[in-house]
Amino acid sequence: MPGRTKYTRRPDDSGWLGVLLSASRGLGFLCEYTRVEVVRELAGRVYFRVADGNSEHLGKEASLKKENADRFLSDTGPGGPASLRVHYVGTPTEEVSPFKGRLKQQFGIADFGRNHARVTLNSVWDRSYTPVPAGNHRIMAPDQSHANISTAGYRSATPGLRCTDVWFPIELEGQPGNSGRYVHAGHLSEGCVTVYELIKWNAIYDSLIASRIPGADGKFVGTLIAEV
Amino acid sequence: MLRRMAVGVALLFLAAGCTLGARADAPCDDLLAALNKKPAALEFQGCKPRTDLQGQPSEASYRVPGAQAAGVEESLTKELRIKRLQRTCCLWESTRNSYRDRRGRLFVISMATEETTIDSRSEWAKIPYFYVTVDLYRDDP
Repeated sequence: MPGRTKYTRRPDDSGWLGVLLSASRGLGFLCEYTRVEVVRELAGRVYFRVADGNSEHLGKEASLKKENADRFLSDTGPGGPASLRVHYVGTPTEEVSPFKGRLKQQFGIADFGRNHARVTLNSVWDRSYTPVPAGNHRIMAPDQSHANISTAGYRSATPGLRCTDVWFPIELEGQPGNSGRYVHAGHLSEGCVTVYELIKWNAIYDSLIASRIPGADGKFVGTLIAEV
Repeated sequence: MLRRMAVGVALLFLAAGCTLGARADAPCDDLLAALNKKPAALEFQGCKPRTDLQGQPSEASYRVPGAQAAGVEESLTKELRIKRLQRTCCLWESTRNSYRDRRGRLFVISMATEETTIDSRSEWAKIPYFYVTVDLYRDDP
């Protein structure tokens, strides 16, 4: 196995693979389809270098027990870039979310492949938050686990909902880096692409996580085209 | 006599309940108290084995009212080296912080709110509760 390239897979429905960091002896967490380069096998463990993505562990050495490496490191890498097209629906509308109560939502529709999902693009209007602007943006690979507590209500109300702790940062057109806006599941949006139709989240997650823009060191999963 | 027996049976039942599903090497209880690192304001809510997660950790859950959350954050930052909470699209969070105790046992600690429109630290008192989870792993991954 040394010298080989592998790609991470999720061990459970959180979406994050826990790996043992060599330097700190602590746990680090990697999203699916993170590229790793195997460096050695020793005493029943497989050691590898985190070779791409946006996690804080990029470039670090980590390891898994051999049996876990066999299960959660795959030879199959991601496919080509994903495309998510979002268009606004009407103007901001008052609604009562079953989870968050009364909110004024800028609803939209997200098209991905042949699928569609209702999204909210903003729910907070009295501060600096705005719906994602029109443009050709890029969706980044997940950076870290988010909201493993705050999305528990959504998960318990939506059987089968998974990987809600995996959020995808958005890089706005002409503004390099994480904008602080994300593609994620939920009913409250501060200018994110928030997948309101929770039952569609798994499909959006599956579509995004298994995609990467080639030649970008695994930092981007695809494009986000926003149309007002 | 009957009363004493009833109390004895009740105590045995409670003791059994406390260890239900727990393993000797990964007890399921008030993990922060057992570590002697539990902030006073933090309320223990229970512990359960997370057999659905990688490594099947024991997971202890806690909560603290928003008015006292900054003190708990300060304590956990100092004692368990968690990152300070950050505001990220709709919530406050510091997730999946790794910690090893003197015995070499591996813990993962998260502190977060539910989604909230409160986006300023100075207004944390308006947030009903902050939640803390502590996962104790039996083994390295």
